[in-house]
Amino acid sequence: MPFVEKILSSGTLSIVGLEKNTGKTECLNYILRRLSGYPLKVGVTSIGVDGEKVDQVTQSSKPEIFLGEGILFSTSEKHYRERQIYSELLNIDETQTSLGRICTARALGYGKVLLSGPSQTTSLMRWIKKLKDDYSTDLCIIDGALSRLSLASPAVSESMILATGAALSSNIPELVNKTHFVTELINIPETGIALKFDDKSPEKGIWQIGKEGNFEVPLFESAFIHGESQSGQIKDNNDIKALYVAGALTDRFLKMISTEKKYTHAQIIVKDFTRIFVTPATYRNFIKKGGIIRVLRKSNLIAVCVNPTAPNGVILNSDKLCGALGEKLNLPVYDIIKNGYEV
Amino acid sequence: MVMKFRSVLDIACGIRYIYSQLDICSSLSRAILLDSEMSTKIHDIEKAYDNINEVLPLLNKPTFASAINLIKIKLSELKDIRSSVIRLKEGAILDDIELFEIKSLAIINNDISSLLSQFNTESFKIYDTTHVLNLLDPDGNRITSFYIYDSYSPELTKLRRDYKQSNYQDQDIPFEISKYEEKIREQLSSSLREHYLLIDNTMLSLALADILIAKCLQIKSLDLVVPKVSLNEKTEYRGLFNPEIESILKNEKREYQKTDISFSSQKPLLITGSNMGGKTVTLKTLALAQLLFQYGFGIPSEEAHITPVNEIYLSCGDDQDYRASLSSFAADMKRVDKMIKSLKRGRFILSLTDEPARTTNPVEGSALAESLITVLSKYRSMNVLTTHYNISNPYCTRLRVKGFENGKMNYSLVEDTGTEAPHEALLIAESLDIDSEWIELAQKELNKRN
Repeated sequence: MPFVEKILSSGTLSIVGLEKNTGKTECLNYILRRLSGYPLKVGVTSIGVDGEKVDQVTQSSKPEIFLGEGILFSTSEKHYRERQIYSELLNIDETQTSLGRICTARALGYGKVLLSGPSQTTSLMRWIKKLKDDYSTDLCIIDGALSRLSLASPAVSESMILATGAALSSNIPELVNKTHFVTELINIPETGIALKFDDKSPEKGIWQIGKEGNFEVPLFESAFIHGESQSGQIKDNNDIKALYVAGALTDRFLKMISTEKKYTHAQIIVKDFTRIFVTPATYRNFIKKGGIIRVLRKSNLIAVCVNPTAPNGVILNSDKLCGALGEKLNLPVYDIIKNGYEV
Repeated sequence: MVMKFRSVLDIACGIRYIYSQLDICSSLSRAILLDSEMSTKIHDIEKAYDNINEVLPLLNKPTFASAINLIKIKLSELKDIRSSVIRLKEGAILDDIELFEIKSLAIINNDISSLLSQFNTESFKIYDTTHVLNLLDPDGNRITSFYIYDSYSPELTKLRRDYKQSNYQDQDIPFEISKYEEKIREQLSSSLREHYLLIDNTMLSLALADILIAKCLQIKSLDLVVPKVSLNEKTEYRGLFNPEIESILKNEKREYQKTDISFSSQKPLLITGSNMGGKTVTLKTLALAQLLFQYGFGIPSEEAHITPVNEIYLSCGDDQDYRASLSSFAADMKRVDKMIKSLKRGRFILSLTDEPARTTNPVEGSALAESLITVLSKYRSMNVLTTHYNISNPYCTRLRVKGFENGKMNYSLVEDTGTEAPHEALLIAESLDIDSEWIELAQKELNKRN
């Protein structure tokens, strides 16, 4: 059976979709079903609301999340009260979400539940730590909501599954292109430069990196700032080895430095792919000109799942779509619903 | 007038600093502290300090100190379930989340009471919640988790087993199960209802224990003292200091000079002295100490005898309010007026007034200040004022900041018999490196007048 073995070795897994209705929940259900065969303690939650019967935006019907005995899950008070599963309540977290506090429970039988977990990345990280420390969970699975990619950051989860589908675009080549661009970003290699992080490491701005991997001077206080760079501060004008972008890498910044000669040989380092906010055109243009972008930590993309059905009624040819994607991405691509992949 | 702790936090005397340094473990205790009312009765204040006096020496015992650490960890899990208790009282059927919370409370209480049982203290009121716990923990696991346990009903056990055996396919069983579960919740709720007062009291007593521990630890960490309640309407401090300013000075590697001060309801106390002599700080610290006293905290001094009052008035600094279209003079006058009105209603107050009527011309200003002392001296109350004006009013006792000595400020207060306010403004301005041309001209001007 595809890709489940790869999940076993990672401690945290996030399932993110490029759009709503790209089949994240089906994918999660499939993984949970398959994992029940392994002696593994699994915990699951969602960032935001997930697993609702009817899509809150498009009003189309959606699958529910099914949990088997022994699985830990976290959901809001509201949805814990509405659960249809026999479960033991273990903890109630103090932090409030719009649907109440977060309840963590252990499933004692088979049943279904709506997942609506922590809504912020920081509380999500705390959740993972709690599950690992207090309940010795082997694998934490986070179901993404909407098209949020931030939880797929390697700072949060070790590996990820990307869900894409007709909801993103009803045109196969465009769908392939859009998905390809995201996987391209995910697969940006890690930097070879050992940056020297300490207590005073920058949390914002764009920094020149010295020969020994130290932070020399900030070129910009922030990536969003207009105007000239503080080039007066630059040391060794001709030989800028690398630039570290502490926050978001924006279109504006990339366009600007691709026109300045002294930066063209510099390696651009960002924290991880979720910090890159550039259009495919700008990105490819920059790479073509010889620009180099590297990340501090690379995400481990396990697989791409597709849902050929869109909420507006478009149904794409699943085999053709999987084939086109697989060829372009050079990654395993699965249509879980069609192929069943039953245990 | 009921003064909640929440409302006094904004008084600019350093009380927010004390509150921020208070290591309270749970948000429930914090809420209860913020809603607590100022004690004005001698009996209540004495009782609060009796508890502190009992716990404080115990903290030096290593066994107690380590027990306290464990208790604080348990207390950090204490939750505010007052709304669930109200629901219980009103006859609602509690759901799993609420039952879980009551069980957690009972477990925390059980753990804390067993930790405290080895020390014979009366300061911590401990309730026995074993019965409540037994209801919610039929298997006796004593683990903080809850579900409708199989042992509540053999029928439920059977149904659950059947459902599992049907491989979760038989869709009639879940409905039957939920009916049984609801029945058990109803039974549990009605059994718990008999104990709702106990649950409520347990929650409150744990929160009070949290606050008491935090106050005691703060007395040790900030070097505070437990005051004596003064019965002769005389308030006396030896070595009074302001913890917030002390900590700021400490960061700048400077030392805080503590002051001794006493005053009574017999006569208003008038403090004179040069600028930068710490008069305003003294007034603010007096307000701080009085507030801390009436909310049962440790007092920032080496020794303290304090008289409880009904109301505390601190009028300090320039808080002119352009939104209420009040000038600084108007704001000042209004504040003092409010204080006088309260006195005339027969309240026993502590009034701390910094330089009354200072924002107007010295002729009218000193007349206003002088007559304010006369008004205050007519009523039974505790009053402290500061001024720069020359005041010859015989109805007050006088203290003077010692002032500049050998180029350094001496903040201590000495008895003063003269009526002339000290003239050290130019000397101080010089030490502040103010433009010399200006100061020299001022000196010439002064010489001309003399």
